[in-house]
Amino acid sequence: MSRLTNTNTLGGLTLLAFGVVYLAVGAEYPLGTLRSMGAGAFPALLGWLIIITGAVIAARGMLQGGERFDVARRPLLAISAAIASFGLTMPLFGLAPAVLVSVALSATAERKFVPMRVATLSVFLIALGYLVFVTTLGMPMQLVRMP
Amino acid sequence: MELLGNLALGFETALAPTNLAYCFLGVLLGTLIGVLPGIGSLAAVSMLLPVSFYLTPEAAIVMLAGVYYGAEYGGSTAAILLNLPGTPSSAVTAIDGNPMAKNGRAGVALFITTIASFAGGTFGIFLLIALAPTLAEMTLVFGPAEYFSMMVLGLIGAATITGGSPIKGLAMVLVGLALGTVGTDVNSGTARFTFGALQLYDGISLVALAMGLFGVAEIISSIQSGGRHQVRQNVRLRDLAPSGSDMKQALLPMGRGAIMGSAVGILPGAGQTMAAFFAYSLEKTVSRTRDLFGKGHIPGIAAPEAANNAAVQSAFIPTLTLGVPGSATMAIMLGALLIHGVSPGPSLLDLNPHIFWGLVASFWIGNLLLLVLNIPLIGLWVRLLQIPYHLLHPAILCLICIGVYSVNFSAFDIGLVLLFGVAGYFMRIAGFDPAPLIVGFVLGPIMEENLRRAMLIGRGDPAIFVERPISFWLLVISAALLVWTIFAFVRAAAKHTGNAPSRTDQEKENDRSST
Repeated sequence: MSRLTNTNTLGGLTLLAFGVVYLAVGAEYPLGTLRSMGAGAFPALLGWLIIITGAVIAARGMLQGGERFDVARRPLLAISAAIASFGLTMPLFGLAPAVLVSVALSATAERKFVPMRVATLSVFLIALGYLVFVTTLGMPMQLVRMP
Repeated sequence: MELLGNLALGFETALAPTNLAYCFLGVLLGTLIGVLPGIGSLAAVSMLLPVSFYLTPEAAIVMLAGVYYGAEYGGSTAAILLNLPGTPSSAVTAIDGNPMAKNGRAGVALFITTIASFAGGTFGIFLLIALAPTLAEMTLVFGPAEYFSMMVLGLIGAATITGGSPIKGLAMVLVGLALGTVGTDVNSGTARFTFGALQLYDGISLVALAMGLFGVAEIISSIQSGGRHQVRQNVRLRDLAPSGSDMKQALLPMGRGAIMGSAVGILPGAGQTMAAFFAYSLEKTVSRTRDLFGKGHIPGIAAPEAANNAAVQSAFIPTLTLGVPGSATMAIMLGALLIHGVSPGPSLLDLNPHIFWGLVASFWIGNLLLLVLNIPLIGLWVRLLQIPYHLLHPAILCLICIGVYSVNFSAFDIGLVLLFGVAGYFMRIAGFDPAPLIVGFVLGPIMEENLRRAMLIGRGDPAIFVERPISFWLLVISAALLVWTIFAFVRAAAKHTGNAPSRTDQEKENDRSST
């Protein structure tokens, strides 16, 4: 088991980095005094605590090891792409294209891609989404729009 | 007779047709989502959070509460039929529930869980009615120092009790607190950690954070673990009826489970999972038929189910009266209340009695609806379980995206979901449970506010936290809890060294699922 790439070491180091960045960005806010704490005081306290816990976790990982960091790349990429495409398509083209694109992309998470299935599911979800969010809750979303 | 008057007010609010309708809708949707394998009550509540913004505060909370216990109930259905707990707390139900299903007694198991849930829930509600006003009165003497220390205890509880590594839990709480500082500082008006993005001036969207960490991350992990399980069993109405001896066997465990569950539910940080687990262990200890546990023994499902639902109800006691949520789901409830401009705490009972008592009444009505709804609909839930995952995950993902988008109509929020979804997935595989993060996130701003006020009152001397007796004892308990869990964890880890992986599969399972 690797001392550097196990879950504890990587997790701890990520936390450590997060703490350092958080502290650095937060450094521009005034600390104030103990009696009247400024906007930067609480973040500074948190930043240091995060750095300390991150260091402890990373140290434990290096000394004692931990589990292997096992990423399922295919589902991760497919789902990420689906969400990103929804965010890009929805404001420009409306609900129907956004659902279609994200269903198609998230279906690639599985090894078997069946176009007919994607189409049927999309139609069903577009109808459901329109019924629930637009008809019932009255949200101002367009089914299809031209940018 | 004040209590009767309050309850009358409550039932009046809860029985208003719109609230009743949303209670029904919440319970129905909650069960529907909870039944789906791999989706817990936390994801269910976050998925329906955006919808609640369109409702009145009462209707919103009534619906979300319905979703919560509906999902808990639905989770046990999946646990019994598939041995695939929809919610972590129902993992305990699966121990005896699934063997019962394999012996062809799935119907009886489902019926007993329904009855046990109802009994446990009812008991928890009685406790809520009895304790909440007294507790709220007691907390009137709380100043900022006491609130701060109370929240410290709540956060340490959330970080340590969930199981797994306490230091990782603590780290997640701290990250949650840090994310909570994003946005405009209420005291000085400084925009913090916004990186110039106007969308962040009001803070990170709770909906986007919760959906990303729980919804999206859960989908990615479920696809990875296969998620292909088929139920062969068909459950018909007439299979449901338990025999007289079945009921007799279930009766006492139900009572013990309800008491155990409500007691555990009140504790900050301890959730239904703990409640169910404790109740099961207690049953095993007191039982004269100990050998039958794990092989489909009725007390083995009746006790944890009663405990689980009693804990759901009693967890509302600290959330509503102190404003300190015991679990991540409660934190989201608290967030929902805050978004609706209702601040939980001792003043809730005075300022918004219709909300508090309406909630209490609707809890009971919701539990009743659960009973009425589920016995005839069990067949439908069974069929839902047969939906293959390749159809389910794109559907859930789309609903998450539409839901998040509908809050602000901004693609920015979708970006946040993506960010937190990926982050949440990495946390999961690295053994960091994201549930304490949500508790920290919701409590962060309130905590900072109270810290700053207390320091002002104490003229800049932090001694104020130990000089005031209530605050002192809260901090002592927090420290003891922290030291004790770290000690216990280190000792357990030391036992495992030698056989290389430092954590057992069971612990890993607990980590992953302790939402």
